[in-house]
This record gives sequence, structure tokens and C-alpha cells, in this order.
Amino acid sequence: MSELIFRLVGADRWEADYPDGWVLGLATSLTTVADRFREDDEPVTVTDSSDVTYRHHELVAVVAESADTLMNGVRAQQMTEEELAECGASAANLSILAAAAADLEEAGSARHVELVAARNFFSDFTARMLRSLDPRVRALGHDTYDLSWRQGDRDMLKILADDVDGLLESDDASIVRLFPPAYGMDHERSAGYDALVRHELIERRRASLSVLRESLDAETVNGEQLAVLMRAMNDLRLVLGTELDVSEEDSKIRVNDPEAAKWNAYLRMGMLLGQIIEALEGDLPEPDED
Amino acid sequence: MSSTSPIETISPDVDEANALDRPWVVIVWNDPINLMEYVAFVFRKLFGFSKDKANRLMMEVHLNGRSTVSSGSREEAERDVFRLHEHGLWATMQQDD
Repeated sequence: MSELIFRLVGADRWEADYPDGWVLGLATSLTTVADRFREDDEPVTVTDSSDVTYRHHELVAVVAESADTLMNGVRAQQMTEEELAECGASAANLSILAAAAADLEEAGSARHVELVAARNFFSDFTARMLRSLDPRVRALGHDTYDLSWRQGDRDMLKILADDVDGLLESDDASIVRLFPPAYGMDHERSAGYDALVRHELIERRRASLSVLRESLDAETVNGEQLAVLMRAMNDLRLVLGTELDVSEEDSKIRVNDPEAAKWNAYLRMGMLLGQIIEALEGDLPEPDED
Repeated sequence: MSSTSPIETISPDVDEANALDRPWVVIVWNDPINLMEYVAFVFRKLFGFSKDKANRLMMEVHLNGRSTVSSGSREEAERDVFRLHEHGLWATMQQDD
């Protein structure tokens, strides 16, 4: 078994398949994060996924509490949806804490690498759990993928697709990530390249947005359509992320944030995008060696 | 992924004949928005890398701020840059030192 999978095995009974070494990975990740916050040096404030802010000295207790919830869930053979969601919230908190701890270390140092690995471990756990509880994209085999958007997803994607389509030919700052300078700081060559390809890039983006809009009312799509849809959704997320001035992966949502709706759309799209990638990954050929 | 802006400059072609021989490399830069799993997926899809290699390069981008993902003639590099831009990754090309 190489993947962590959550399965519904009865009425509100969830069971997890933990891959070999997974529990050891969990223990290592928990220790890495707890140890870092036990060292009392720079002050740090972390806002968790429930909008609660903790000071440095409180973090050791918060890590221990989240670790307990998570370990109890893992030890239990089966969990209710509520218990599983609690585990997910703990894992989400731990990924934010691990990211905050990693920020205290010099990039690339051994400690930094360990904390980033712990962050990835916890965010992977959270993402897999959310996908199990709320599946929106599933591979059915035979090049067919089932889409079951919520009405809210459809409305959000339709509005964003129209917005971005309208911006593609503008010089709006929010679309800067869609057209990076090909020659980096060589402005002359970058401008020359841009003059040659921008039209084509705009047309392809426009076409992918059309596929996305058409898919909103479809029940299934094929692999090619899903891959195009993935690009379009990533474009929407890039524009939204630029507007929100996202500066790190574990962005914290604050209470009463006037941009809360945008943040929710941004996070929701990250979740949907993760499901699309997971569904498509199974079809990629795996070469024997590089 | 945490933020790092492309800051590389391209050295002037002092020796044109020599410059023509040097291959072009395509570099993907870290950006704060693209999902790590998306970056790794795009590497596999566009370059046919194994899952392990794609993850290794993605982590290089994430931790070192950049990773070289392909090299070749100027035309080949421009084609790869185009495909990466089409997928929303921050890619640039420059001649190998």
C-alpha cells in the first residue's frame, strides 16, 4: 500500500488505509514540529485554521493537543465523519505550525528541510481527507471522469472565468503571472518573445476557459477535457492569488476580512484542483528510469 | 511555495561564435501560488519525467527558488517555455554558463 486512503465502510463509519511507514512518518513529523517550538527564542505568532492566534509560549501546548487528536484518530480503527473532520482540522493546524516553524529557519538548512517535509506530510493528510469527505472529481476509467460540482462551485467558476476572460487582453496587474518574461531580466528579448507569442497564449487561455464553462453543466468529461479544465482553473487561481497578494502557501484567513469571499474561492479552487490532479495522475505513464 | 523573484541577469554575448555553441536552459522559478502537486504534475505531463524525478525538481524549485528543467537549442527552449507558460508556471530561458 503506498497511498493514504479513507473509505466509507458503513453508516458514518470511516476507515483509513495507512501505507507502510506512514505512522512512523507521522511520529517523526510531530516530533520535528514540537521540538522546534520547545526552543524558546524568537517570538512568533501563528493564526490557525479556526482564526485563533497563539503566542510562542502557547504553541507547545497547541502542537501537543493537535497531536493527541490526530494520534487518537489514527489509533482508532474506525471514525465517524465528525471525528475524521476533527483529525483533518488538527492536521491542517499542524501544517500551518510546521510552516511557521520552517520560516524561523534558514532556507535550505537541514532543520528547514525537515520542517518543510513535516508541513507537506500534514497538508497531504488534510487534502486527502477533504477529498474523501467531499469528492467532486473522480476517475471512472475508460477515459471518463465524473464531475459533481456544487452549485456554489459552478457559480464561482462561471463568474471568475468571465472576469479573467475579460482581462486577458488588458494590461491589468492581476494577469501578470499568465505571461511571464521568457528571457527573464533580458527585457529586450523578453519583449520580442512576448510580441510573437502573446496572441497565441491568449487564444489558448480563452479556449481553455470555454472548456471550463462548458464543463460546468456536464456530468462527465474525457481526460483531454479535464487536462484543459485543470489549466483554466489554475489560471483563475493564479489571477485570484495575485489579486489577494498571496505571499506564502499557508496563507492565513483573518476574521472580518473584507476579502474573505475571495479567499474562500481561492482555497476552494486549490482543493478542486488537487482532486483534478489526483484523478489525472493515474493516467500518466511512469517511465522505468530517467 | 514561498516567494522568490527571478533575479538572474543574462551575460552579454562577448564571443558570438562561442555563444552559439552554448545550450539554452529552461528554468522554473518558485512562486507563492502554484500548488506543489500541480508543479510536479506539469513536469511529468510536459517532460515525461518519473514521479520521483518530477517531485525532486519540484522540491528544488520550492527550497532553492529555482530548478533547471530542460536544455537544448534556442528553439527547443522557447517551445518548452511556451508550454510551461501555457500551464501557468514562471519559466525563463537563458544560455548555459
